[in-house]
Amino acid sequence: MSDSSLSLPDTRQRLRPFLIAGLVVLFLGAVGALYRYGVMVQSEIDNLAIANSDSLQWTLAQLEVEYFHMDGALVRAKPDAPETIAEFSRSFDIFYSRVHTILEGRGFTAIVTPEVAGTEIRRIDSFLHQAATLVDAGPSALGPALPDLRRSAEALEHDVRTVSLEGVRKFAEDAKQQREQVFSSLMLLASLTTALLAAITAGLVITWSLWRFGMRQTGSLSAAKARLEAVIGTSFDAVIVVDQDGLVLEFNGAAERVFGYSRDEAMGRHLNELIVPDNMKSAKLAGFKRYRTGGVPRIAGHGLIGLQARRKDGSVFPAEISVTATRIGRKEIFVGYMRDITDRVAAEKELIDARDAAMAGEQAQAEFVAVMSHEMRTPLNGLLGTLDLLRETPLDESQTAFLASMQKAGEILLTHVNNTLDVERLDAGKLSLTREPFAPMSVLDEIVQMQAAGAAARGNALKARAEGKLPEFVEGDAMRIRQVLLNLVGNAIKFTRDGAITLEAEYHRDQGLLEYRVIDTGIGIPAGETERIFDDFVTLDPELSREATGSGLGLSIARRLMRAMRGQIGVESDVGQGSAFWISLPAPVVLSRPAPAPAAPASSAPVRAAAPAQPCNTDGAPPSRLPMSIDVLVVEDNDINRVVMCEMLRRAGHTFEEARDGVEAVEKAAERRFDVVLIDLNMPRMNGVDATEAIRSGTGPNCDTPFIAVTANVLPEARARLEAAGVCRVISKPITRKLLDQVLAEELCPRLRDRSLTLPPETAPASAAEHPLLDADTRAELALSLGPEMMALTLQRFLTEGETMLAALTRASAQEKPAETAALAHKFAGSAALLGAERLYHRLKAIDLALRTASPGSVPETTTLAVLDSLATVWAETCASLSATPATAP
Amino acid sequence: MRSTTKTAMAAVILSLSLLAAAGFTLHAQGALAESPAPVAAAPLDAPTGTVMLTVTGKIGVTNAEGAAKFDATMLAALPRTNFETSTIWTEGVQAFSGIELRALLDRLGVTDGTLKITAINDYSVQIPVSDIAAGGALLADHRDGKLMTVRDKGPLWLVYPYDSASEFRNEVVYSRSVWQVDRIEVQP
Repeated sequence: MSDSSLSLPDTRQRLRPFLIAGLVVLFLGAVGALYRYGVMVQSEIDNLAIANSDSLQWTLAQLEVEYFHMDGALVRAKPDAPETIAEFSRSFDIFYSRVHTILEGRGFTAIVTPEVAGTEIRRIDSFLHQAATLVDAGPSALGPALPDLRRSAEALEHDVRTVSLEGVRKFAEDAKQQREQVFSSLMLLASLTTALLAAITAGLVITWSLWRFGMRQTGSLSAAKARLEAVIGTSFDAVIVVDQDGLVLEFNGAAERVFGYSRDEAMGRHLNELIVPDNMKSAKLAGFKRYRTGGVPRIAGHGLIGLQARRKDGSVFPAEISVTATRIGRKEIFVGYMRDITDRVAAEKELIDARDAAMAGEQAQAEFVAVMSHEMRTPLNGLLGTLDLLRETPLDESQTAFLASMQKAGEILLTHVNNTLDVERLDAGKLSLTREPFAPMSVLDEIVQMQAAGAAARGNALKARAEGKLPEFVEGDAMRIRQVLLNLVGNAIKFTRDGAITLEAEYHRDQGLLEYRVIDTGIGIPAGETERIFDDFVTLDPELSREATGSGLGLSIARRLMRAMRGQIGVESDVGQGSAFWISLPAPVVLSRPAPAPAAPASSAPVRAAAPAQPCNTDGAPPSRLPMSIDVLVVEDNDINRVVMCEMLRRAGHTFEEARDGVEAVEKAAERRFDVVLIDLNMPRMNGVDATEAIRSGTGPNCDTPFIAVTANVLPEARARLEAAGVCRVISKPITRKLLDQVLAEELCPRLRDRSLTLPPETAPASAAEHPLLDADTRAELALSLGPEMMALTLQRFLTEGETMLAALTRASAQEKPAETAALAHKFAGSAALLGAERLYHRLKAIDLALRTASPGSVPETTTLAVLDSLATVWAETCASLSATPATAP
Repeated sequence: MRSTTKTAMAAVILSLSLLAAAGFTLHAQGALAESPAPVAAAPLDAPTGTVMLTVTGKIGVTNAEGAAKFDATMLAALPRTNFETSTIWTEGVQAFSGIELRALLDRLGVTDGTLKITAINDYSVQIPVSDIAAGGALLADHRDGKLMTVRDKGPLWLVYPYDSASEFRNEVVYSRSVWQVDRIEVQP
């Protein structure tokens, strides 16, 4: 999943609370507004109801009525009739009250203003005040004033009318205004209600669509879940899902079958309790812990991994597991697919055994052929030699003829045996090629010299020539080239009668290729056969082959040799016209002429000659050190050990050559003869056993040089291989000068040579007791052997190298590469032993022994893990101790 | 999951709007108190001063021929009530005191029928007895601590506590607010 597709729902999820809050606020606002406007409208309606205009208008109307009442009573009032006065008095009071109601009443404020009827009402009021004084003065005072009062009252008629009419008009206006206001309020309320209704409807529609969407989602989710459950449930593989603490979250049917737990039993329990074998629990827990703390997962995401699993009944079986870590939200879960591979492992083992058996059979057969051929060659040589001797004795004619036949047959047999040996050696890759300078043309000249007689016997002219300019010297294996050309020339002579055989040499400078051609005018080869003739046991003409002495191996050997030299061989031919065989091979030009003999330096020559003769006393007791200087090949990949060994040799007055691995050893061994070879067994590229075998079984200068194996530990079963390879002695690290001197003396004494392989005495088991951190003796011994400067240098080198080695070892172990771990431990152990770091050495040796036979990806034993874990501590202690205590020679 | 939340939200919105509507309706409703049961009527003394109010008709207690007459002293002896309110006929808040119409009717043993209340100027209104409750109509004889004269809407003014509730601020109540009252007839 990409980041962008993740972030979108995230954003939506973050915004959702704000969205909801916004909607709620909007809704509350709308409700609030609705309520407010509702209240407003209600108060408008109230006002309309209060709109008392009816009541007020009634009051206004009554003003005129009561005025006329008062006026009528005033007309009727007679000073001498007190009841008329009282009537007037009462109607005056009523009118007075009415006018004051208008003047003071809240509802009449609008009328009392001067613009409407203010002036008029105030005029009425002033009359009332005047009259009230008279009325209150009593009938006696009122009587005489009645006519004046009547006039004043009549003058008011117009004002009273104005007040009534203006009031009515004003009230009508106000009512209209109020109606309009109510109307607008109602409109506002209605529109607000409509808006709210619309919003609610929209909300409902959205909710409905969301609900529909949700239902669809739920539907597809449950369908997907059902599908997933079906897939997991019907899976042939056991599927177990655990959380990051290792607790089981899912346990399918196949898992129930494989492990024997029911789903209910397994759910929620820790993986360790269920399926992890007891001896692996700590490793598994560590794995989870490491994963949690951000470490590199060993299993998750690493594809198929084979390991051991436990069933409910406690039985342990091999399982194949593939674990994927998946993040769900913030939690990490692990999905494991597991398969019981008991049957497959058994089948594989059977297959491997069968293959090994077959290969061993084939190898045994090849070896049998080789051994037999080898064994046949010696008596055959004896036979041929005896025939030569027989020829010197007086023989009659027929006896001479018999002898010739016997000799011929013997020679053919010898060729066959040699060819067989060549094929076997080439196929086994045992052939060692040399790279020495040689003159290209001299090879041809030698062949012409050797074969001229043979060619002439069949009436053939044999000559050699150079095509173009040849370099003076090129580098290559002249002997092998000669062998191939001899075969080709032999064939040419065989298939040509009374013709010409031409040898040509040409050098292609641009490609650095040397080419030789053998051209004859013989019977030629049919077009379809030109490839086939290079195969094994191919002879073209049965009649000819009887006469000629072909085994059918000659050309196939030639092709094998050319391939070994990274060259090519081919033929062009016309039947009846002749054939042209060619070979070409890379051969770099050598500029300066080399020393005439590619042998050892002159200085070592007398030593070599002296070596077998001088070393031993005649009394047979082995000397404790050699009385003379020897030439040693030191093969060791561990730099410290190699340097130390060389230094010891130098101090003993010997010369030496260094090789860092088996391949280099083979190359160096081909160059010159050494008096002895000190060889480490565990090395990269080619190990000591293979290198020994290659050198000793070859024909090089060191094929019978004594080999002394130097190793940190030897497995007893390796003894047979060492002996077969030609190792005559095994010595254990650490090497001391004393030991080295003694061993060299013993091995170079001819009287003791024929012993069988000597192994070092068995060391005490590593687990017996805790070893001391440092062995003072070993260290003192080393100091004595090397001298103070060299010792300090070596110690420094060990400290630096050890740091690197420990890191590499830890890494290899973490990556579950037991073989690599073992190799590193082995190499490290060599250095540790040398410096006398006893505890470190034994720990490393234990790891080496435990892991050497383990298969890749398998989890080591708990004890081995513990030892691995303890390494860092032991190393730190060793370093501290080495740095703190100076080595003192005893 | 998400759809459930949305549905719940919609439900909340709907219920809130319903609640708001209900509240709005409730707000418009008024509450009318029940009339208390009539008190057993005691005999009434005859008036000694100027008669201020004459109650006739279907009454349980009289002190004249088919009538109950009250002078200032008698009125003052009845259970008195006072309140402050503004009116549409006056300026500012007025302090009224007098006799609750309900108390007067109780005193006279009036339980049902219709009151015809008449003023000096012969203005009259009709009020069903069932409409008259305690805390409502007041026959005020004092305004702002002074005895009301005819010029000042006296001697009795039937007022309501207009400011206390909106139910007292409508056309019917205003029309029933009779001033210069001097007669009440209890009609069957």
